[in-house]
Amino acid sequence: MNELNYNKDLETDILAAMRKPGKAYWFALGFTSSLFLMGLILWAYQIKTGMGAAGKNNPVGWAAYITSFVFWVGIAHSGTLISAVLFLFRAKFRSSFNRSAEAMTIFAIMTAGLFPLIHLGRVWFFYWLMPYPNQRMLWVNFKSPLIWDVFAVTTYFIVSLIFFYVGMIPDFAIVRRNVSGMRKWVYGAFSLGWTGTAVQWRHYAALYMFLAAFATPLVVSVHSVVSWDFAMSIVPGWHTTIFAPYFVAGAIFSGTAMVITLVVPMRKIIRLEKYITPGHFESIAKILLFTSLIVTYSYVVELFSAWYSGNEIELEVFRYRMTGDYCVIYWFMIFCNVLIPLTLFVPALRRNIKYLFAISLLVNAGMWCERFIIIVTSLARDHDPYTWGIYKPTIVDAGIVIGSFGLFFTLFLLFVKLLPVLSMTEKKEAVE
Amino acid sequence: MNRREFIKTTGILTGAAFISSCKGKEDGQGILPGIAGVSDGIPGQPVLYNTTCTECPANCGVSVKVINGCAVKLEGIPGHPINDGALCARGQASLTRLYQPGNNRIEGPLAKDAKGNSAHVTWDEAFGRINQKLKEFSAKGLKNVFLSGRTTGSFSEMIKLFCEKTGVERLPEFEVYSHSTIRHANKMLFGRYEIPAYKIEQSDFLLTFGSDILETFISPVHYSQQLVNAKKQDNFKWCHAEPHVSLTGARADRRVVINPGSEPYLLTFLLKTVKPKTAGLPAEFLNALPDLSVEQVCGKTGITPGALEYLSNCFETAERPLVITGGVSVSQPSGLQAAVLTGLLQWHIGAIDYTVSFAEAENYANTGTILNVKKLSQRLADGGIGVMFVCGVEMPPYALSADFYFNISKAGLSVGLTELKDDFSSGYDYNLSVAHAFETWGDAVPSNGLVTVIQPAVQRIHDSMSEGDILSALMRKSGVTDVPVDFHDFLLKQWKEKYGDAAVEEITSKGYLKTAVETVKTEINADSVKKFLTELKLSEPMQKPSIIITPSVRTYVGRSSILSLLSEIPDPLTAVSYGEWISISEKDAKTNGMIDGMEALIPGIFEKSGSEPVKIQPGLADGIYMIEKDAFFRMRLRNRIPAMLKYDEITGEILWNLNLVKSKIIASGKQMSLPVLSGSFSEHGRGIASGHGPKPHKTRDASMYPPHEHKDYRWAMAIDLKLCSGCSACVAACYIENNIPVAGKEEHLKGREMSWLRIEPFYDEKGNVKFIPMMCQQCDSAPCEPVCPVYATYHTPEGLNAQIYNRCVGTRYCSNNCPYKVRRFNWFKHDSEKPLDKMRNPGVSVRTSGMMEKCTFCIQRIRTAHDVAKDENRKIRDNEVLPACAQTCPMKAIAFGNILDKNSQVYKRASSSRAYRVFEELGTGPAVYYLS
Repeated sequence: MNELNYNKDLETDILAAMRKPGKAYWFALGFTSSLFLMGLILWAYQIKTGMGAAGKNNPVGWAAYITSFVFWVGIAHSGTLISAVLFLFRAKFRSSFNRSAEAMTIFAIMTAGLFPLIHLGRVWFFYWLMPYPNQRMLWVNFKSPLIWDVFAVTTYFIVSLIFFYVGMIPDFAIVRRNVSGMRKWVYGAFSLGWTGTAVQWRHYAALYMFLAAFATPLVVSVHSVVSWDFAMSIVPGWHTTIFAPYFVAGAIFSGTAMVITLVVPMRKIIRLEKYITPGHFESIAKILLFTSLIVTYSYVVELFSAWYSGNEIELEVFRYRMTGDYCVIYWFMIFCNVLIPLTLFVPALRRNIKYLFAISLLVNAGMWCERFIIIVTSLARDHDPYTWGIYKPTIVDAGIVIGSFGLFFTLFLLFVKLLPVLSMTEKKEAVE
Repeated sequence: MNRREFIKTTGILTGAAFISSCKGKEDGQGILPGIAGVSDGIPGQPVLYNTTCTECPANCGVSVKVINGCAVKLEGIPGHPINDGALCARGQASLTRLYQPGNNRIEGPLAKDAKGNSAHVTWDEAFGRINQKLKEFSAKGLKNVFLSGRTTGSFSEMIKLFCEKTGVERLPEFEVYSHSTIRHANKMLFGRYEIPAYKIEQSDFLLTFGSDILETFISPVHYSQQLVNAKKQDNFKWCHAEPHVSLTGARADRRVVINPGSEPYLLTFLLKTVKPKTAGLPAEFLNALPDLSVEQVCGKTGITPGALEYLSNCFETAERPLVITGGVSVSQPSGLQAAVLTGLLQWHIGAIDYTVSFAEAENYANTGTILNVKKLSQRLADGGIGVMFVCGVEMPPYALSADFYFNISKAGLSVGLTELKDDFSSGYDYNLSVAHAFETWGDAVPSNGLVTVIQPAVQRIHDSMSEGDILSALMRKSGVTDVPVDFHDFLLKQWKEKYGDAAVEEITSKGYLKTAVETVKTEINADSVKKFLTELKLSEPMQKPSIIITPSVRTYVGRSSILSLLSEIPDPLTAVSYGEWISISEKDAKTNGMIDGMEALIPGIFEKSGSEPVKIQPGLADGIYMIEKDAFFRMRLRNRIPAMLKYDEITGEILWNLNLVKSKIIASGKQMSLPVLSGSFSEHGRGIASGHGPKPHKTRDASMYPPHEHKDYRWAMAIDLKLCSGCSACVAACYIENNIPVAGKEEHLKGREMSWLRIEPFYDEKGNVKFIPMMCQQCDSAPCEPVCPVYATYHTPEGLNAQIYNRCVGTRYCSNNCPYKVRRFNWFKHDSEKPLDKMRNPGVSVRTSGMMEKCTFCIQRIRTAHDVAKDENRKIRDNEVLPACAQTCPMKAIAFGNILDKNSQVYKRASSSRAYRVFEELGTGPAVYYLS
């Protein structure tokens, strides 16, 4: 196979994926968008009746919504990691995943961004969380980690979006060349007059490098800031210095798993087996294994510092996690995030795509549970034993969380059909 | 006319037109609702009316705060001889009785038609028909009768007059707590069928048997206040002996658990061993008592020799001891023996006419017992009753008097003078709507030497009349002319006649009048004592297991259970809010494999599945099952089992303690929904209520932020936990003062109560309980403040953690970060049912869905005090401003004030060696100090 043929096949295959969708696609899209619609209806219901429609109560003021917020922000992490960090490290296998990972990042932040709004008691005043000039001189409280969150997440979203878009400009030009009519005009507009001249390439490479370097610290900062929502408080089980690295590792772990979850079916459905090989999967499985070990280490350190502190209140929270009302979720989390990924030490399993897909689903579930355990059990066993209580989700909590998955997958399905799913230019570059 | 002149002229003309059109309405009606007889109501300014609380027979003095024609808050009258400013939870909540939603209150006179449906009639129709029936039945030779609940003072005279003029037979009145055993014993010993006044504050050792003096016994607020005064003596001791667990026992210096029904053994032992400081009982009486060894007493009563020795020592050292027996200790077969032996002991230790005063005896003169009701029931069954008036009687049906309940329909005509609908009211042929005490004139004589006024504070809400007016109208309509035109007229005549013209002004402004009492020299009736002693055979203690049906601090005997606020406030001992439950001991629960909320069956009593949940009660003796009276009635009603309670045939006391022969509690295995608001009864070594928590780190002062500067005021609170009895009066006061919504059972089950202030019970391993009132601690370094993204949590210059409701977006971060978890989120919009919305305090904003709220130290009161102080160009004085909780506390446990003022009460308490702050080790710097 010579290079020219490969490039031609690549373009044909990728562009084939952007053709008119079949029945299965429409069915999938219908399914995910109805989940999203259900979530929206339940949200409207919750706004109308009050936050009590969800299952939260007095000790547990944050539950499924904030869990999902942290979960989706976490998912958003791998996009930048795979794109920017691996780009800087010149890891070639990244070109198989980077476009999907970046798209996943954008959609995950969009989904995540909804949850702070959903969980607000008076969502119609959400704009009070933004600093904007007003004649009453009312500003936001910059001491509040929630405000840091607003900044961190919006910054990350904007930078990721630009990174995503800049990376696609040469591909837009390829698409423009291959389509006609209205679509040609739209893709043309997005390609910003890309002609592939050497000057353009030089500028492009510089900008891309700059953006990658700029986005890399954000991988660390965003989830650190999110973790400070918890670490800055004095709630036992939250107030610990390990939270920032712990959350970042967890975020990369869950994000990597989500990339696998998305890419495996995508590769199958739009026939990209040629371009995304088991070798690529093996590389990403190594990242999964590595981050799993960090997460495991964090679990151990968290327990150790609780024990070492000698603080009875802190210890009680950890005892409660392991033996209390939510212990099944805790041990499921340990199974998914600690035990199962250890099997990836076996090289054959790393190359087994079905196995990887199954693991990735478990890790996703495990990481959602991890956030749930951190948030809910800490609040449920707070300082004053009189106020101890448990949270039970209602149909509204559950429906909105499921709806968020609906939104995410709907967006991803739209991406698959509207944008080139692999970076054709980078794939070509990676061949030699 | 130039331009300037045109404008001038137009301006003058327009102004003149406006001014001339400003005048009052022709019909004299203002915008605000007027108050009968009151013209000094300034809009927005509170007007206080001193009147009397009628929620229970104690008749505390209460001042009704009326703003814009609506009663918004009740507070005890300062200096009142009964309650001196304090009020219990029931008293606080009784305001909601006035504003009960329409479907609970009777909105106008109702008559039953032939089909048994109630329909509104006019007063004239009702009176005409009743008068006609009165005559008709008299002519037939049937008896017309008048049965009422306990009445005192002028209304009692009115009933007398009515009965005389219309030939109606007045029956002995019925009150569930008739204390007839005590009265019977006093009659036997001293020839007085009375309940004496117990002067607790004059004693230095108090021994109480079963009498729940802090909950429902005779005058709980009065006794609480007396206890506070008594505790000011260093050597005051109080021991409470009881078979179950009560707030009273929890607060006593020492609680002694005795077997139910074994009180006579202990009393006999004490009579034999206590050496009196005065003359004491003659030796012949003492010798006639059976000799008991320490082992025998301990064996029968179940108390330890150590406890017995403690009691002996206390009597030894005490100069002025006092013994009170009542409540559960007299409502059992051995009750009369216990009461008589108590009387003898009171005489023996010289308490009679000193700490036990018949001169100021409680007024139960017209009160009969359940036996009178039984007689009436028989007469009804025999068909001998014509018109039967029932006025202010509450008899929870089935459990007490199922036969009476069913026999009401056998009266020729039954007429109920009814305020709120109850189980009985549906059975009456006529329901005449009675006005609430705050809408009418009246008076009460709770005890000898005291008369208190009942006066209208608000305009009547419904088409109702006072009981006195109904009787006088009935008389006049029947053609009797030589009676006062209305009850107010009658009342004035009575007051002038009894207390002189000058007293009228005093009684209406102050709310009460102290009258002279005769000194009483009590004599012991030697013959009846001898007769009693020769016949005395100490009755055996009750077998276990036993059910003890207890009084309830929240619902009294059940009459207050209609006030939903009292169900919203959890029972302080169990932290259960709504519903009924059976309290069992930890061991009983273990042997039956039961946990909180598991359904219990008791063969013979609660057999049907779906009956009652259990609650484990630490400190409860094994084999004792506790049920609150009100809960017991409701359980019985639901199970539709007729009465099974027995009565003492001699005294007429209801025997509330049930022996379960060969029957015990069984777990059905089903879990029921029981709203237990406490997450744990143990403080897990965190020192919340005991003060023995971890010590704060020394380096805690290091902070990123500069310390708060407080210029003139730093508001703080100091709560003496040795005084707090857990009575929850503060909680009720807080709810009403701050417009806190009632969330309901379903929300409580989800853990979403709205109380800003709560009583947390914490038990130790021995089952002793400590209560701690928990409200916003107004921390100096408040964890809630920095986390709010929109600055809705704000630190005021006076040290309060203010919550700006309209800035709150509802992230709930502040609540998560609050270690005390005292912040409350509005999960829904809570609308109060009309006309309950009338009692909203206009000084406190009403919160809506999605925002956080919490205790403010009653900032509205602080603001008012600031305004007054500023007008007078001075600082706020100590005790000038009190939050609702501190104001109402019967034990005066809560001190509030400016901690920067070194002379303030709060500063003095906070600098006591007993003072500690909850979770001080967190460095939050709370402004609430607790004294362990």
